[in-house]
Amino acid sequence: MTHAVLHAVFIALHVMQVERATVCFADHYTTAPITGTLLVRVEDGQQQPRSLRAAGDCVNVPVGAWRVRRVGYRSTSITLRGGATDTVWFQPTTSAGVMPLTVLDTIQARAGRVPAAVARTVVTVSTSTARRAGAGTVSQLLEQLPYVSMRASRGETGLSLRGSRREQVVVTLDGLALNDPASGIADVADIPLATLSSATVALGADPVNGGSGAAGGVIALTRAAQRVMSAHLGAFGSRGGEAGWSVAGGPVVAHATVMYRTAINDYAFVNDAGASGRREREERVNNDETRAALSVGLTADRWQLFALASRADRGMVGPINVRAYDRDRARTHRVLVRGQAMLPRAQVTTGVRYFSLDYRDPARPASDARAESIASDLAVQGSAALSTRLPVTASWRAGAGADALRATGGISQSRTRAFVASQAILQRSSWRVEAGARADVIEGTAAVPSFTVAAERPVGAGFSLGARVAQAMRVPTLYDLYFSSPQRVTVRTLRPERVLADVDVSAHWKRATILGRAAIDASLVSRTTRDAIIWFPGNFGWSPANVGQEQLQGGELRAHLAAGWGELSAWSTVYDSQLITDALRIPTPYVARVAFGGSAFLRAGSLTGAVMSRVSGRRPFSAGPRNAAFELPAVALMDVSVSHPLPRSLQPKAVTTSVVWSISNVMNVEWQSVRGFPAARRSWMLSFLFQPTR
Amino acid sequence: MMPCFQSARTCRVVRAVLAVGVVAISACGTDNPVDVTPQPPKGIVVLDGFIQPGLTLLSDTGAQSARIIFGATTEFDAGGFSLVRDTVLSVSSRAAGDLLYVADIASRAVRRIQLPPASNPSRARLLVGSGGQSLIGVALRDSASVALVSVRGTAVPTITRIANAGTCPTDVFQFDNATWVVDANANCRGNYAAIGDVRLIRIPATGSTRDTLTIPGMRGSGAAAVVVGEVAYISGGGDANFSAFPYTLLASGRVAKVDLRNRRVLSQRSMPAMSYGAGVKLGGDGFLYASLYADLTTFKNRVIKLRADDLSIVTTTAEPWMTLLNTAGSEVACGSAVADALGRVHCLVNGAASATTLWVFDVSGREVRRASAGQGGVDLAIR
Repeated sequence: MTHAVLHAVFIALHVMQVERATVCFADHYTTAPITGTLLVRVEDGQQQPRSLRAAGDCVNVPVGAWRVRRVGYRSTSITLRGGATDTVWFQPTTSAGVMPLTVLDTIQARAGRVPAAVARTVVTVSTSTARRAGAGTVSQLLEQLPYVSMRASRGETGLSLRGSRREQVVVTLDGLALNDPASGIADVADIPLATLSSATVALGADPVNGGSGAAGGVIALTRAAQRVMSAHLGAFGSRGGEAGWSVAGGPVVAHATVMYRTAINDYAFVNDAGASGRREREERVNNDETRAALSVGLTADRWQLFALASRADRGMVGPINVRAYDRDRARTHRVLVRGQAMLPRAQVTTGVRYFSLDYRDPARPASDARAESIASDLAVQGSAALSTRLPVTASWRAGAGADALRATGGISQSRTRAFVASQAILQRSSWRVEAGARADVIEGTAAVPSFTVAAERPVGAGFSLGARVAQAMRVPTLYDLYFSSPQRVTVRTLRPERVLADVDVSAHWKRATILGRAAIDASLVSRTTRDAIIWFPGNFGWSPANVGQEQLQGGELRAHLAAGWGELSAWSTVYDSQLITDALRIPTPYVARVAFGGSAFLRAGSLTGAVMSRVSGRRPFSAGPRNAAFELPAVALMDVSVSHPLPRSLQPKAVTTSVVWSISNVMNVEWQSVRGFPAARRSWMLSFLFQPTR
Repeated sequence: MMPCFQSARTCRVVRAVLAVGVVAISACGTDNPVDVTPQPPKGIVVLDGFIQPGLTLLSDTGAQSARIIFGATTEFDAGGFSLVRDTVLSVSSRAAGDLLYVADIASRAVRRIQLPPASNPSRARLLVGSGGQSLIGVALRDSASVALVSVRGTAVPTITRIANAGTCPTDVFQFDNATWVVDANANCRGNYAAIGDVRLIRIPATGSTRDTLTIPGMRGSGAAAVVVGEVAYISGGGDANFSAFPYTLLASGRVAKVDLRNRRVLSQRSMPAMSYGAGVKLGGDGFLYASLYADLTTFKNRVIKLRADDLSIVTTTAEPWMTLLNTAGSEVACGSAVADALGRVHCLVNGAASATTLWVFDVSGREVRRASAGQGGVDLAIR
């Protein structure tokens, strides 16, 4: 016993004498810090058994040569010198450089580095930045992304990018698409913010990385093994909390998060759709929601596993003038399991997603319904340098999956699918050229090939010009297929929706100025979609059909300035997006011709202030020709937040506590996100964020 | 009395002009419809029930059209309407706010009247008002009652109710100092499944005992009436199980001729086997036109022409339905059909993106006109 104690003291003294250095790990493209890195000591060319796993994104180790490995990333060697702090920028093993095909466990991200996409607008917002600006949910995180148009009616979220319909946006979590195979829509409301490190928006069709449905673009969520706890209290009965913790135990880093959130949402609104013709003040009923989620992640040297389960209970409130749904309820369950393993020259990813919806109508039990859908995916991916002469890196990916749906009324559907994709980037002199191809085979549909080509070239003084052409496809969802079945309306065979060309000509400017790092991105875009799958009333009910051609023309502009004092950002989009069929010209519902957004983060000492604003022009809400009577009015919204640490005297030991005061819709604007579903007016929230002191 | 939606002064002027007009027309002896030579329609009114709800107004010729907007789909969801002179009545169900819409085609004015919550109205009819008031009867399915809505000018309407008007009242009309209710006798609060045969309930204005006339074998949650003099043509679309695949037809539609004076069913006509639906309109040529689906697999629209006196089917082929052909000789499947006084059949077809086309066929079923008529068209009427 005494000997053991002496031995421990000896080791401790020895360690104290050894020179040490701090090394941090981050993703090269998203800048998201990475946890779970394995460090193996290299001495005299021999790998010693001494190794350690970093539970956080930084680790303090003895100086010298180390080999660092992390599942999903290229292994590399580093040499640490005493007292230094280095960052290892990990390159994903399979990404050729555009959107990382696999993004892994990370902790808190630091935004500000634009991923190295070729001629493509890609912006990342970290959860830590979003939290300081008042975000407490993933939906609020996404609202802070530029170019993203969000709408919600009964608690669920719908996203639009580049004038797209909401089913034309793919949302991924660590590369795994979250879109429900039944509806085609990804609802991110149940994902705990503590699970994520960042959200990235990538505009434009993305057949290679997004797969089916990525016509408007991709929103990529990356996970985080954060050690964080948060709690909030707000208007309309809003309260909740989340906690995330990670530990390194033996060969694995384990991470878990829990989330609980509830809100009554009984806010006042003006009913302008009643019969009186007057604007009558009423209060929302049956608009409450309660969400709970649990996630667990395990990261080892050559594999990792992640599981997320969530449950949401919502009141299915009706439109402002309808009382028939005042007692209707919905319960949603979601389960997501994702696994990843490294092979000698490739890696395998697999995922299973399960969705269920129970709808209950106490007044009309015959209307009760239940639907379950499941999607499974398996993919193998790798990359290689093609030539020693040409600096070309190519990645490849092949996968297969299956979708199934079962619902009340004896509905049962399933289908299998497979794909193969490849992407290469050539970097020569000042040119960067990217080319990609993907072929999808969906059961019941012929193989659909899609291509993407992009090129970018600096033209001096921080300027670069780029051009990108991409295709995309979207296979009919299971609901599409079900409601188009002969039993439903008329015999309609649905073809995949096809983006023939999403053309993007862009100019980028980046420069260090006396005010800070400035960047401007401007794009002119045009998208042509054939066989758009749109739901219209048939002669017995609403049903989908391949309708006409969708055309979009427009432009996107974003300016960003970052410095030690904070960040300023502003963006604008101008879109003319419409469906053309025979004599009809139908603007895409809920896409404004003109939209603006802006954000300002100002730091003064430990105090951070944030102002977020969003302006949207008139938005059509029907699938009919443009008509002012069927447009929502233009709206300008502003959110303000201030975050600061708790006074030192109140800070718990070994924990940094931040307080965020936020007010949403400061101008108290009455507006509707979806026609008939009023959004809350001015509201407040008080959030506390607890993080262990490093 | 036509409701007035303008200012009081304008109303007075309009009423004065109308009064002069009526006197002038009466003086010319042209108010007797029996003697009038069949005339082309003054116009066609199409109800756009979906997407951008409202009315599309077309004239008998030309491609021009005008629109009257009702509101968003969350505020209007009707599948039909009634037209009396220039007044359109329609309702939105419980899922769209329980509203009564009164539109004046001449002035393009629209008035919305709030019905009691969760009343789930089915149809509205202009009844005989008194004391300078317009009276509108509305069948309220969920409260098993009839709303009597009195409207005078722009004043707040008053609503009284006739309670216990069957299980699921779907239509209402007046005859012989009584209010008659078409009771679909279905579970309209739930899944609209038929409970029993469609009934006619006579509710005397004097408060004496009610009469119930069952129409044997007729089923249909959308049962409706067309009243001509002392006769009512009651139609029931049939019954089907839509809760599971494959859909199961439980009963095809029927049309019944009812002698209102003697309160008896004179005759009935079953719609063809396998068919579903029976939306009946009285044509300006005196025939009845029933629009239905040929079956529950293809839901192909069909039109059947019936003689009003004996409900026999008028057809020139072996098939019971009308053969309507376009100029290329191809068959046109259309719905909401009705003929004008010249015997020309007008009907609607919803094409790509639910763009609605008004088709007009001559008495032999050949296309004579095709015109764009808005989007999401669900019903039409001829003025």
